[in-house]
Amino acid sequence: MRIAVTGGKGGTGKSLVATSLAAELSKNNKVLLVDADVECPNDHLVLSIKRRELRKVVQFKPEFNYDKCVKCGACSRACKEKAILFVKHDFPKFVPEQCIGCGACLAACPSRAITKGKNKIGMIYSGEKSNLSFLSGETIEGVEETSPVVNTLKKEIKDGFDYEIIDTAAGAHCSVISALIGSDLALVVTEPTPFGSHDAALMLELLGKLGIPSVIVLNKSTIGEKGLIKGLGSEVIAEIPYDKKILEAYAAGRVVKHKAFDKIIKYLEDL
Amino acid sequence: MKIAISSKGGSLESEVDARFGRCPYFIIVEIQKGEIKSSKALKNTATAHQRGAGPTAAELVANQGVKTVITQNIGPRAVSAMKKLGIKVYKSSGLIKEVVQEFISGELKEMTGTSSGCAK
Repeated sequence: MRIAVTGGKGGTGKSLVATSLAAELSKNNKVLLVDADVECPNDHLVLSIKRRELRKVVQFKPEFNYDKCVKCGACSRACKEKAILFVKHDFPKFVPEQCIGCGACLAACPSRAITKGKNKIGMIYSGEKSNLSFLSGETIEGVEETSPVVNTLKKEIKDGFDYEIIDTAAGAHCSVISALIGSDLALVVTEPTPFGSHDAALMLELLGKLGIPSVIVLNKSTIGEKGLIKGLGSEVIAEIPYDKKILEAYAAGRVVKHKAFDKIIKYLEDL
Repeated sequence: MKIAISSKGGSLESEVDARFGRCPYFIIVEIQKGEIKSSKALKNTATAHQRGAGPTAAELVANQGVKTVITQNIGPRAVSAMKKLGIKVYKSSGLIKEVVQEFISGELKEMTGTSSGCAK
């Protein structure tokens, strides 16, 4: 069973829920935790997992053979990211930071002056803690399109786990959508604040469009206004209070134990 | 030589726009023997780009034969693009006509890196 931990708003406790749930579930099940927050992964820090490099994430980039180039500018016009600059009567100039690896230039070049090169955009890591297996992806700083790193990360998920827990980034953008696709259930972690409610509503709408069933895990449940979350019309399966002990454990990089996680596990087992 | 200045308006009397990629106009000035020979305003079509305005604007002025740009702030992607296109960037602010005179008399400093605090 693949479970996405998401929420929209940042700082609601996605990683708290993902790491605690994974650690607790792994006591009696074969569990894989996947940190798909590839712009800023840190589940390995919470779980004190030493990550090993598993594989590079590479993307197409154009390589130019100026002997064949006819200076027509077709590659530059085809490039919607402005990664290829063209000044009349000169060779095209490549700006690697702008390239998303779509290959439009390769298709557009009439003189076969462009060949396939490789651009490293990230790294996939693996690790483990006791029975818990772990995967994590990390994008190289400055890369704009991070979905390819998430998709490469997901390809590393092997069969045979009872639970695969995907910890997504905040937001509802492309790389989060890439992380969510293929999940059997999404835990929408939110908080009883106007921001939490607003972003959770967006996330629930997105999950609806993706056809992924969703339930809410309410973090910091003892502060704010619970009515904001009840009004979202999605089932709240567990509540985590705003508790100094939880904050202290999390701040110290310890796995947080709380009965709310047992409740989530019970919910999953009853499905 | 031809230089381009990021501008808030369409004439030499306009002020330098603080932004390179998203300024509304470029004033293209041709300098010969230490004097302004001609000038024209070029609408910056790069502002329509959601992202990549910097490289797009760099390409736009390069196609005018410009090898020198004067602006205030420039993002990292525009810096990469300018380097590839062989364009030198100088920093200044104020009225375009005064800035051009400062450039002619060699008072302006060349910028080698990014100056914008927001584009990262």
